[in-house]
Amino acid sequence: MSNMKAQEDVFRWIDEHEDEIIGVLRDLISIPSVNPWFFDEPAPSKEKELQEYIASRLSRLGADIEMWEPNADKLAKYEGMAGYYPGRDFTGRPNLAATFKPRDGIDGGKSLLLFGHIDVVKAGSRWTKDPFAGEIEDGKLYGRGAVDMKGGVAAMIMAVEALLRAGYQPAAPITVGTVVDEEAGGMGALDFIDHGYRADACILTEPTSLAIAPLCRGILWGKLTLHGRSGHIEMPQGDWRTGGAVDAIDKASLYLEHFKRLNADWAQRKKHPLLPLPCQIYVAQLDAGEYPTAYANKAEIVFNAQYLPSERDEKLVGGHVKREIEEYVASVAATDAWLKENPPEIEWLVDADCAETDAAHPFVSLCVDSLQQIGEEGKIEGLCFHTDMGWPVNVGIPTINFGPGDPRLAHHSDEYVPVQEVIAATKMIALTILNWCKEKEE
Amino acid sequence: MPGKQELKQQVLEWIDSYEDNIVGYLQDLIRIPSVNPWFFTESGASKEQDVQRYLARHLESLGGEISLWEADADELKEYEGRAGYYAGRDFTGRPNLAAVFPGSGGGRSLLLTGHVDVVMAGSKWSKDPFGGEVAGGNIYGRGTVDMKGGMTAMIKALEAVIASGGKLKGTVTVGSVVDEEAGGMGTLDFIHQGYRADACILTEATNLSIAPLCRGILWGKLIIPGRSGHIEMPQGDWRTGGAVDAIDKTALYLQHFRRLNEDWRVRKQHPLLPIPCQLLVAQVHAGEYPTSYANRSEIVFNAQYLPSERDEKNMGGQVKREIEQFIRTVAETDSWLKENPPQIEWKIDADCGETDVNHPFIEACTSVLRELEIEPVVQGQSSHTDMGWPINVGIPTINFGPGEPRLAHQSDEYLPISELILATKAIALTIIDWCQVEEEQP
Repeated sequence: MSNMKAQEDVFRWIDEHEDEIIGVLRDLISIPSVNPWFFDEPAPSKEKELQEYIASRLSRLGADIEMWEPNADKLAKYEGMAGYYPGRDFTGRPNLAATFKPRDGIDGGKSLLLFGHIDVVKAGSRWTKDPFAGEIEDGKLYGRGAVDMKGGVAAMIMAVEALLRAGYQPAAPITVGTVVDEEAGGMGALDFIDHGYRADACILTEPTSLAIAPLCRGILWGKLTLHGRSGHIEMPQGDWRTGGAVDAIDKASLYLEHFKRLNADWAQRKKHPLLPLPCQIYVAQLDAGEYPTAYANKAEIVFNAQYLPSERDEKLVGGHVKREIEEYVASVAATDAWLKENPPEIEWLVDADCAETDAAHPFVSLCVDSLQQIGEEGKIEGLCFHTDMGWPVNVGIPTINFGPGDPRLAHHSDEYVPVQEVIAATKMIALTILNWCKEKEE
Repeated sequence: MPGKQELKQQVLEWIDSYEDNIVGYLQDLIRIPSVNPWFFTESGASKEQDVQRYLARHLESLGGEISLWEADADELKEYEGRAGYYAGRDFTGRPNLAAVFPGSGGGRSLLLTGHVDVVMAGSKWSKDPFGGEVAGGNIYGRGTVDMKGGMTAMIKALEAVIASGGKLKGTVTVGSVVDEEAGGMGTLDFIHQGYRADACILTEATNLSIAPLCRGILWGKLIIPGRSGHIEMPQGDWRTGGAVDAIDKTALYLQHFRRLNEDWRVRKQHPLLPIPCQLLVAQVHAGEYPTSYANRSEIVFNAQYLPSERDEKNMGGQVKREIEQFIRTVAETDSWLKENPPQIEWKIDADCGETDVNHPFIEACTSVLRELEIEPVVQGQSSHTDMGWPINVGIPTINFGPGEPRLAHQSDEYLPISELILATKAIALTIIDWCQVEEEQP
């Protein structure tokens, strides 16, 4: 384990530079690097401006900087796999890798990738604070991205900076990788891994409320369209076989009931010891009907279904679970004469992949130990939502999620991160670097 | 002066030989797109006026005493809370029309009435909705069924009687009103002006059946509150801030409405109606984003009521209370809904009325149909018509008109020419029988 002096020096530096660390986070929030997917009108993305800020800061500390724009055509071999979107344009949206190499060559330590995304979702409505000002009140720092995930990005940058400025050099390479486009599919992370960056371990600094998360769940978004047949709602309607109306809302109600039944089954079958809740298929949006005098012609049900790493298909995405849901939807349709002849359709909107690192891996234990060193419980818990950890794990990098902030606040108005969690995360990451990469005093 | 039977024969022959003229008249009406301004996406002058002027010119040429006037909402204030009253509605450029044909005395008077406004064309037409195209023995266009076909039939019926030399003893009034498709204020105003008769035919489409009653129609919007929250994350109990899925509560109401309908199916029948009153959901909208539990759900429903269920204002107040009570009772079964009760916004209360099926006027109508070798069908109208106000002021009223009411408001609305002609004949013979004609003394 680390030598106590190095740990004390680095922690002291962090404590003495709390304002600077938080200042960096506020700088990151003040650059509104909203993913262009959320733009109402085409405009240049601010993701590049943010990458340049990080590059310039880390370059001053001696990092080798590589900044490049992903090229969708070069990624065509990933067709059908996580994060690949044909033809997506990354002009003005670069990925960034800042690598700190040991001056005297690798000397016994292990390399580490500190990984995160710098795009954020749009501000949205109902903010009581300026979403891009980084205002602090009662120890909470407010802003879009404070939780997801500029808090984590600030912590990982400043952990490296703390180490170096406190006078230590890692004995193995550290790469700070910041990618674009997580909030609209994860193509930035795919490209980063395709670019060849590897390490002996990886911390993805997504918000975990300071827990160690060696897995996340895969997320499927699907739109189920149920067909009905419109007709006057106040009038007698014959059997549908003779042209009578069919109420799509009644069919939607049938599926709502059946999804409850499916969820009871999934609640038994789709559990993971490190997850606080089972996978479910939840209806998030329901839209049907056009006019108060007509039976609804169709109903659209947008659902969110989660899957476990153990359920992934051969392409490491949710194909098996999609098939399972499709078969279930078809089996319900088979119980209804109209639906049997007019089958519902599923359009798959998102398949956000997942992955799992063995909780017994030494890197996980080391992270737990780092957390305990800063007075935390060192809790290991899977993340219920998706993160970009899939690609690092897919190429063999043991990866955990760890970061400041309550993930439930992500994407919400008045998103905030407690300042002290950012500081604690900075210390935990710095300590992990010391213990994993091994330090050398200058 | 022809005898009554001879006159009837001449009238029927006139109608047969003027078939093209009758069809042309309906085509002229269809080609004036008198869409109710309620459906306008941009403000503009209503074409209701153009139809009324067209009818007025024609009815004047037949010898009618013409009144053309614009309703004044302020003058109708006394009807606050009653059917068809909408405070402040502007009728500039939207006149009502009455054409009175005074009888020579000794007969019974008759009011022939209908509305000239139509709903918007809407989508999915394969014909020009305002072209009046004839194909396969049918006339296509918005309003052919609802209800320019009926307007044509009643006016051409009167013309046939007059052109055949009939001298009526009873007064015939042709009433043509605006604004039925958005509340019925035109009819309220017409009755307010004092027009009365010993009987009334409202020529709404009935497929040539005699409809001595219609149903009242309530439109309501039920707003079910939920509490949004991340759908993939653990959510605590709602009492400690956890999310509440408004779509789950919607499923609860959809289930309970089915239960209510079982009850209504038994309780809310009428011997002259083919179907019981029901509370049917026409629209559902819930949820905003695939990662959030729906924050609220909106359910638009259509509930029908019987004339016997009307309140002291001849409206659906009692049924509204019944529905509100039911919604509260369901909310009582759910701890969240108990503290966060759903709200109902009442959108429409379209009234109803009923004429005693044993009234002599109905006998007069059925015997005319037998004379035309049509087996009379006496059946209530499942939807609303404007018959409420004539009945409220004591005028025995039936709906009788050409066209399949289920085609109203649909794309490719059409009317069989043969039905238009039959309706014209039936109304003409009813005029002769009910109002009586001067006959040569034998």
